[in-house]
Amino acid sequence: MGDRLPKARVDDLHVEDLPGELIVYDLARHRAHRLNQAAKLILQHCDGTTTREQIARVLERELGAIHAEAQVDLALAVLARKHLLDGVTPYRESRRLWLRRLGLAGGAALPLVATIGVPRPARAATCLATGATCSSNAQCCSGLCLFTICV
Amino acid sequence: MGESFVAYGVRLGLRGQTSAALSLLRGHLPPHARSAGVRGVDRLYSLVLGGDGPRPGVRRLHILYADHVRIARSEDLDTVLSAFESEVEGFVGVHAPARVFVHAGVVGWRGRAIVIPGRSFSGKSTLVRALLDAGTTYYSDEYAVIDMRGRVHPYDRPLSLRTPGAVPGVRPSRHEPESLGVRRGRKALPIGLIIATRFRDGARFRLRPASAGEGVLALLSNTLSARMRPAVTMIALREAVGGARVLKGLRGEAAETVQQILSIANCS
Repeated sequence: MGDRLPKARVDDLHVEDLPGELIVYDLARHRAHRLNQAAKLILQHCDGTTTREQIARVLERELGAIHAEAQVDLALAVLARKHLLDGVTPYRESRRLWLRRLGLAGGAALPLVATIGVPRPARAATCLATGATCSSNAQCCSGLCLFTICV
Repeated sequence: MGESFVAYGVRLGLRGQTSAALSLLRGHLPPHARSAGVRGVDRLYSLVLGGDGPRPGVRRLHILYADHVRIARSEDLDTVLSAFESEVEGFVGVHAPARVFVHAGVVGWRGRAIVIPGRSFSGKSTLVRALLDAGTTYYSDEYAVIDMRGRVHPYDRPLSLRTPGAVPGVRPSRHEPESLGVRRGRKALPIGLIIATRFRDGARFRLRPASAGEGVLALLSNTLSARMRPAVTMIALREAVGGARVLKGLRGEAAETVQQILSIANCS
């Protein structure tokens, strides 16, 4: 792990704090992330002044986490990959590797971040199935209207 | 000839060469659109009716414009009107002030709304119909219209029903709720249950409780205005899931699913 103190990104984000979880909308990438309680706690302590060891202590204290430092490393790697940490971070290891290291592949208390791509308006709207008669690409679920037929 | 309407706070203009053309467009406006007589509109739709051309063997196409952009052109008038309906619904859904449109089926049950988010062909209309047969009130088979307090308003256009086993491309038939013996919901309801399911043929109904955050993501991935007004969208969705139970999972045939959904809703 790198020496830099982790710092949460604050620009171009909309954050909704729900009980036990956090929803973060990335306005630049149009992706929405749901952080579970452990990931939320870790992100909230990424203030650029708190070390990963200190964050691990918080995780132990608040959630009774085991292997807290490894969990923090896992979370930082995931958060960095999802562009939720500021700047170029050295947290670049695969989730599978961390799970193996933690020996907790089925662990429920692991920091988790679920992500969805937010749809464009046309994709979220009503659309026509393959084979339907169409007159513009926007009408088709596939986005392709070829010779008046959705393909 | 022209006329203006307001639907969910969005001002729409309609224009046609004849009153017949205007009447055709009027019949495909979103529910609760009312004549407004406003001078400026947010979008102007113009329908040019085709038909027989000036010479034998020549036919003019029906053409629809949204402002200056041609959005549909076809010999088949139904195709053009269907394009109009889809376009105007999408436009209102994206631009309605203080409302968030989520692609979802909605029914009312004991003072709370049951919301089933999902895109076209996800089976939500079938599930809505089955829930209505079980005595729920009709709110929408297309959009959950959510206000900033998280309440769902009716979007009670005629119900779309696809014939079982119909080939893709065949348009669903439309039925007024009353003709099916269904009651319409009138007032805005808080959400009691969000059911984020996927249909799988032959699947057993298997739902697991999910968190409020999972509910937000399920709604967000079907929200029209999410990219254009993310802050407003997120606030409305946060309020919407506030008092709701969220269930995720697989479901099989609608009829088998309904009683279980209602028994879960009764416990909410």
